[in-house]
Amino acid sequence: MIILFTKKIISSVEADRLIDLYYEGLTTQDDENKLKKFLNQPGLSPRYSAEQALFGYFDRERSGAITLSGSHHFRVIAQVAAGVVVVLLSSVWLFWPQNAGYAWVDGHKTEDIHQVRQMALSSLTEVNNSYELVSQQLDDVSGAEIVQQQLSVFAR
Amino acid sequence: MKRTLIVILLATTGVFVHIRAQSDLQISKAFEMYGHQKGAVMVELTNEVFGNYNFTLFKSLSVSKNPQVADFIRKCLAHDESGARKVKQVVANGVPTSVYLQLPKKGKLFRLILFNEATQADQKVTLIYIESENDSEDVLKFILKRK
Repeated sequence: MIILFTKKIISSVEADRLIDLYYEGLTTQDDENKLKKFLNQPGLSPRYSAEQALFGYFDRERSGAITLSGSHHFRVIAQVAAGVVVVLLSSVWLFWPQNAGYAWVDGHKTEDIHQVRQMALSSLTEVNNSYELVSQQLDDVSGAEIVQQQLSVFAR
Repeated sequence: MKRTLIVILLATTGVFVHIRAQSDLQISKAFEMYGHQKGAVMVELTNEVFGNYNFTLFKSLSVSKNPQVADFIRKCLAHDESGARKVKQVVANGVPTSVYLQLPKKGKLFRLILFNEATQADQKVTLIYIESENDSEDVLKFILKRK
């Protein structure tokens, strides 16, 4: 045996009583739920049309708020996603190893990579020129030459 | 929420901004001041391979017949050598005419500053700044082999 539990819809007398209480602001949530269930049934007398419209309005407002909240969340997610994409693209642009070179000669810029490389290598040679000075100084203090110079004094 | 998003974006971009490891050095002023002048040659190369060594950044400045440049660079080097290892120095008439500095590493980059002032002929001043992931000892060996 299957027992069906159905929520009872209130009578029109009870509904009239709850409507009066509703307009006086004395209804509980439970009362309003019963009233809503009563007003939502099909084939209701037209004398309840005002109350049907009233409760229908509040229902629409509630669902409208939910819709607004949903679209707001979507906007936030879209903004965050856009921000992440921008940051990622910026990182790629900034950090992608790029082989680049330029030179300024007498105030004029050149980007001919071969010329630029040549100038770079040339500057490495120039900065190394002092090595020859060191070699020369090492030669100057070479012991063999000093000995020879000193011996030549006695040869006179 | 919008403000938080903007702050996060700015902070993240700021972190990722490519701040050159040389920007903390005084010699960067020498490149700025004299690099575009007449009589100067300034070179900048990134991710270039010389010999078997990858130079993440190579920057050089050569100026002829301008003793002011050499004096200015010497002042910059006096500041930048703090914390650095002086690999080589040549002094002529009481003035450093050649200096090689091995700077502290910046992240995974080894850094070198090379300076030379030719005392004869055209009195050319050469300043070089190098960043490399290769050990600076090896890079110096490569440079010293070039004559």
